[in-house]
Amino acid sequence: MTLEVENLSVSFPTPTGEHVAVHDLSFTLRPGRVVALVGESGSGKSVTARSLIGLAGPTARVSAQRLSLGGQDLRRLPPRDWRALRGRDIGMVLQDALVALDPLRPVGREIAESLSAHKWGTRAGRNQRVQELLEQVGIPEPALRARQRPDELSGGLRQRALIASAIALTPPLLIADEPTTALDPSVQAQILRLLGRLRDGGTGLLLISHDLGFVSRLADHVIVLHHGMVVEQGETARVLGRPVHAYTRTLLDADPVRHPPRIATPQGTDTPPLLTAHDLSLSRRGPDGVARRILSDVGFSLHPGRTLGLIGESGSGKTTTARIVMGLTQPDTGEVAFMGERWVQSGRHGVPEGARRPRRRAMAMIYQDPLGSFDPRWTVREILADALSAGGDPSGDRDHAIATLLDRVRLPPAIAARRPAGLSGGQRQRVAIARAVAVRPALIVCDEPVSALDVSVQAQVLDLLEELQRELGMAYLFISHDLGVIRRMCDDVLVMQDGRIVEAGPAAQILTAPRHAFTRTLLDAAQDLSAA
Amino acid sequence: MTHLLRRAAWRLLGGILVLLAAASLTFAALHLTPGDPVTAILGGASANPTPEAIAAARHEYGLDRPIAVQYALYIARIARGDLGQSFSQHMPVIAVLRAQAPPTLALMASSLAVAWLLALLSVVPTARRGAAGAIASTLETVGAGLPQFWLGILLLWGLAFEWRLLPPAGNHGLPALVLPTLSLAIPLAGFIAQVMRESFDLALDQPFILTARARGLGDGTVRLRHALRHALLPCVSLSTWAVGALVGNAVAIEIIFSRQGLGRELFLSVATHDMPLVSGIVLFIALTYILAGLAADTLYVLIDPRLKGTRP
Repeated sequence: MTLEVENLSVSFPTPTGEHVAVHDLSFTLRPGRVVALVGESGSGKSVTARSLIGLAGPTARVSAQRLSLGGQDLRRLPPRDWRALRGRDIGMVLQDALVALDPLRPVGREIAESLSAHKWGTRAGRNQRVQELLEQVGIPEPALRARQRPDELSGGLRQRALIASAIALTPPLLIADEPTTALDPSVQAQILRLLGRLRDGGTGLLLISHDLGFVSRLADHVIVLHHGMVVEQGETARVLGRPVHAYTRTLLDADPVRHPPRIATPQGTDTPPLLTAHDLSLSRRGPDGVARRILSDVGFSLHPGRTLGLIGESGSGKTTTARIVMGLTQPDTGEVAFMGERWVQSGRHGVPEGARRPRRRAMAMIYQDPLGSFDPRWTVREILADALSAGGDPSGDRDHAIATLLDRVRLPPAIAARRPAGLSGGQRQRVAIARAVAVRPALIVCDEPVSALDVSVQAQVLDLLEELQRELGMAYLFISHDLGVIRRMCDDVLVMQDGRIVEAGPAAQILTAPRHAFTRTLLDAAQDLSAA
Repeated sequence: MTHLLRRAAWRLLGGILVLLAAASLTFAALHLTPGDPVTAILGGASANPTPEAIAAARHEYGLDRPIAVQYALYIARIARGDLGQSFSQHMPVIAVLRAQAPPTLALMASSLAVAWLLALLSVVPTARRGAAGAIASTLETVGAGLPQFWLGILLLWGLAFEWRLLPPAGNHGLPALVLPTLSLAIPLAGFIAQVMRESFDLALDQPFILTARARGLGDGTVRLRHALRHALLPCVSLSTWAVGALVGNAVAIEIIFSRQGLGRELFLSVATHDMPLVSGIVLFIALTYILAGLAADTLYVLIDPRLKGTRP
């Protein structure tokens, strides 16, 4: 069964006129082949995917010269026929199974629903099929897993369960919309292999992703979308190897893997460390009342002007470590010293916040999504003015100081009058950085600072962080699950697994010649995903 | 298991504390209201009790003792399940409750059920459906704003007196329940529907709804099987509040429709200063409220199993 798309356009009416989300898109998807749609957020990838199963929304205007599946014209398909087609002829996998599967229902019920929606088999037969499907996507103990909800499964297992629900009726075509975004690299690699197996089994895949490495491993044909327009399309090796269009090159160059690794900042032998942590441990009681170690014996030191990377999978204790360093979480054991004085101390003789306050402004933080850390009613000017006064800025000319800050993070002065909700993700992260440097900190804790950003914006924000470090000499404690980002940003690296540091040392050594088996697993997974 | 037991124990303790607070408040009300409590006990100033009767009642209720001892005796009596004697009714308070509670509980249950039904009918078929949604949403706002006693009088005049479709008063059979139920249920349905609509709309925007549609599910099934469950939690919370509010609103409605019931009894006992009966009814309402809270907690976990273990 072949999907043929010729000059597909999708537009939405808006108060200011017609917004064209996709313009003249054409491709053919055959069984056993993989077509990839690549582009940044807002480029029209997801709208395309939804249009192909008739779910672009009631206000969408979809037009095409040809839109057919196995010879059947889809352009004026009545709703009943669309329903019959969805799930049976075309399956769909969305990103993040935690919300793409109904969070209140066991995954087995969700998968069985794909069958019952098309009146497939009896109840017993469907349960049998659910078990087979879970096995097919590589989930051990299928009978148990079928009864668990998405939040009770690990990220990898629930994403597989989502795929199982999409392939329940073995549809000849599968649309995967960012199937690995927000997953750990090792889980991404597993999903990559699973999708590869489906392709080898004859399923035609429409892959939607902003991750060029992922795409290059799977796709036969790549379509690059930019603001709803096709800027380039063709055979994967050709498009990614010898891109013709400037935008494709921008996307490729933005991949952190293509950036030269960081040249380690020389560490003065006589300078005392800016931050030291010793023997940090923390246990927390789970919902079942059993205490779990979430951090064990974590220790490190960070010198002024240097960057220390913290890598590991989700749940390995990276963010907990950052919170202890920030003085937001009290550890069970251990202590942290900052600028040569006690900063965090476990036990009853902890450091009171009052003792930390004079040094608070020397430590700033940048989050993954800064939106939640801004007061939505404040303009950028108010956000920065607040940070400047917290930093004890003596200059009387506040407007001048704000303009200087905005210039420092490469934002136009006009941004000052806007509110964070009206800014793009990249602009917002720049405002967050401006707020962080406004207090002239000695250390910035960066928790996944670019993970939520498109790849080209990501590269610009990383450039900015590097430049600011050169200009202002701050140290960074840098948390990321993306080894490419770590490689270009960090002097030293800590590898964390299950709350412990399993390996520590210079980035150049750890990322090229790791000693610990877990580090090698991480690197292999990243290798599997990179564009090579 | 110990975890569950501990939670049950905390729940029980909380319930007892609420009852204790309700009992203490009625005790305080009894002693803070102007006039001699004995006069109130014996049926108000108009009852003209004899000095012997006053002395006897004073001794019987321990009113010649210090106030702390009186309080302890009062609580101890309630703890034994002895709610005392109603003076206006000349029978034990327990007997009055036994006779008056069923009609009120029936009215509350039917009002809550009808309110839920109306809210579901108003929200589920119309949410995120352009004009239909806007019209239904407006009706919900109007409904939520209707005063219940006014609605009761309007229904009484229209359906009972003008068109003679339904009985205007009394307790006999289902027809007599219809008008009081509607008077209480329509405004409540407006409230529940407003809360339900907001979370229903939010649920329809979630990715799992798109996944369900991509499976080939029809719109109705998506709404009933997926979106609705996500919209229920705040409505259950609201219903717990409504159980308390319904008793209060039943006062006016039971009087308008001349129904037997706790609301009317509460009104009459306050009017006649029949304090044992007032405190008995207040304690009963507090107990109903506690049970409603327990039921809501059970429903929460049934609706959203993720809440298991997160509530103290």
